[in-house]
Amino acid sequence: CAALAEHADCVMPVENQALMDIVTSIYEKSDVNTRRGSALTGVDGGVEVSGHGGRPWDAMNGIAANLLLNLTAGARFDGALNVDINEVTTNLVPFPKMHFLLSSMSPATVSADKGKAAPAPRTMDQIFTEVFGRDRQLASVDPRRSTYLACALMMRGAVTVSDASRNVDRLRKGLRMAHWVSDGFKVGLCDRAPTGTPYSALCLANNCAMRKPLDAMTSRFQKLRRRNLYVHHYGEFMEIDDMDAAASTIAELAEEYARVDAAPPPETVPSIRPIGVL
Amino acid sequence: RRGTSPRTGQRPSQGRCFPSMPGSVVTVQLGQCGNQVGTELFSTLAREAVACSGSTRDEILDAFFRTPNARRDRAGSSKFPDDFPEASTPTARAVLIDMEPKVVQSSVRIAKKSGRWRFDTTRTLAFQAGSGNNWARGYNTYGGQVRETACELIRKEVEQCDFFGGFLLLQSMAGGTGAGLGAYVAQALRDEHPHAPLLNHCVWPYESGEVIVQSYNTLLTASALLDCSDGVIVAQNDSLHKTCVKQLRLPRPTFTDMNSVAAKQLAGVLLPSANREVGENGGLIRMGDDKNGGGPGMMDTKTKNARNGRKTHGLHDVVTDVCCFPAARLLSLRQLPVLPQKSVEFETFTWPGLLKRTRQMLLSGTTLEEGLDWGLEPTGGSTEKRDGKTPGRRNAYTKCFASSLFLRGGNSDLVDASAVGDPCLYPPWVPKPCSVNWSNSKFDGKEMSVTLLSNCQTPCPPIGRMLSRAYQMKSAGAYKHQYAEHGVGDDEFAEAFARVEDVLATYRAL
Repeated sequence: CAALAEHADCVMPVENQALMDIVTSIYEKSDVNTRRGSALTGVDGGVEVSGHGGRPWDAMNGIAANLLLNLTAGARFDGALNVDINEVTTNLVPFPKMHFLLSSMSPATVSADKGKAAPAPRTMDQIFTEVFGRDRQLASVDPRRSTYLACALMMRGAVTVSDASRNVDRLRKGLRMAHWVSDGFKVGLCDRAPTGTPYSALCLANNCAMRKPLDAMTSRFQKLRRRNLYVHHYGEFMEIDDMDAAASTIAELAEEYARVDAAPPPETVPSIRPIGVL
Repeated sequence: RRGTSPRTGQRPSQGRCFPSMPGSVVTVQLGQCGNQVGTELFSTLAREAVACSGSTRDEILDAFFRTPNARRDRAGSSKFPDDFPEASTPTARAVLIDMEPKVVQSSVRIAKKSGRWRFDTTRTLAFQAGSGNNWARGYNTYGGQVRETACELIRKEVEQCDFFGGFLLLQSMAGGTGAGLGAYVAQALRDEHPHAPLLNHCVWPYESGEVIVQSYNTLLTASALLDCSDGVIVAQNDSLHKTCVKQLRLPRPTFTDMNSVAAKQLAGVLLPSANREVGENGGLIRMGDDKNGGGPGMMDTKTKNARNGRKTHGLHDVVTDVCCFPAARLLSLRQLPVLPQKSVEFETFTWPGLLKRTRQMLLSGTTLEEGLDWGLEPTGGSTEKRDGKTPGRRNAYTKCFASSLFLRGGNSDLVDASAVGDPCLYPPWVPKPCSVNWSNSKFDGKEMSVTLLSNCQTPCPPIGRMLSRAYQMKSAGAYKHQYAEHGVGDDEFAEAFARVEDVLATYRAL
């Protein structure tokens, strides 16, 4: 994580716990006639498991795969407003070190298990609302309680620019945005929807809530480091100081997020006034 | 005799002369938005060409398309065949540039599908990676790489024109390619073709946000273009959207709908028309009077003479009529009537009615026909204070440097345009503030239509809001590193802020 903080342009962490929660909630909501032990598949035509004893990671990996598909759809297919990865990096990374993005998708999966009914159809406005809700985030955080530094919405399917603006205007009020980014939404529209659903939304947000996973990572690290547990295994191949440096990089990054989260808007903003006219 | 001698236009700051002939326009489409708008524009022009006949159709095709197998001009017959066999499908005089290939390819496909016109695939330039919405990358990094090839393509297109009339650049202001590379190409064209008119049509992004760094990109584009361009038409996405919703009754407009509205507004200006002498108040000329017009008058021999000595309007005239002052080059487009296709035959219009509404649209500062504030009136002449009281509400109207009116439809040459030509709307030191152009050909199937190109304060509020957002972002230091990586640092930002503030102050001082 420290190496990525140094060298990567943009990082999209996906937490296993969050994936597990999403899969469980979808599984619970589905039809009772599901065969016991069969796993949900994430992608239409993907790995199908018949009978019992399915592979438990398929569903979770399927969601992560959907994330990548939705992210690159703008580069692969035509659309009214193309967005590729370069644009994501430019728009969502206001400060060089703060490039950990929170992702969320709706619908999270696009097909149903064999013999089961398809996931409940959603209206377009519902997918927008879901994508900002706590349940669909791919990290176990609630973005509504922290400040958004930037937000990108990548829509696929029959979504027009007016649908996107209408929903953004509606949902923006419930979000805390940084003071310098009042029009802080990047919108992408791709014509081709994912298989099995008429439209989908992917939200990538640079949100200060990301400090929670970073803090949690630091505290788990410190629990082991304080007692020098397992350190000798790493000492064979690297310097222990590097480990400590990495920990402090992450701790600083988390503090930076906390600081920006709590920063009040400035009283005056410097501007240029023209001296003489004509 | 008036009306027959060619009028030489002069650019105010440099005194260059350019004969007043229509000429062919070379369009350069930059970025996704520019290419999409360009496709709509050429579709509209091709449709109008098909709807017209004879010499008007020839003029449209000559100005915007080239046809390889045009027959020699015989007396009375059109230069172009009525149907367009594959070998002689008119080819748009356009160069398509984008930093990723999909949009250019789909534009070429759409043109080919129409069967009536096509884009030349040898006049396209597309890279793979895209500009990433980064103005600095489009301007500095891609600009240098692309300059030679782009200028070469454009030069080849210019050489294909029998008489070259100027450049039309279509771009957006919020993105990376259209905005950044577009600004670079505009400056490069100004360097390579210093005497050619350069008109930019720029799409202003939604205020609610399409791109997070749009304030930066818009600021930098505005600053670069206001320096080198002859006229910058600002088409706001919010206005186009409202036009689609309120007037075309489309509940969920797509970009295609909005582009088609923008393209029609632009076509209303660019299609052939003839300039008309007007009296001082914009009205018709009375017999026997030299420059002083009386009030609205009847058609008389003088006007007939003016009409017969027709001067066809070209891109050069378009920019010199409205941009009288180097610091004031922001233009707005208004067009009416705008209504759903199926309602056209049920509505009746009159020229006076249309012109009155145009005037009120101008005073209200909107580009929509609905929700006009009929209470707004300009104060008379240059006196601002009367009775020692501040005018208050009366001064809330939108002020204008100059404007060009384009009247299309039957009897448009006989229309009294004093509603829009009224000197009260303009500063007293502008000699001929309202230029009236007419064409008897119908536009867009409508019996009469009015397009107004004005140099007025309409773009000022969005520019002011953009500046305040840009200052906020800059003071927080957001995205600085993205732009600094490609060579746009604090100095460049300061220069851009200063230039745009200057222009804004010029308009606000009206």
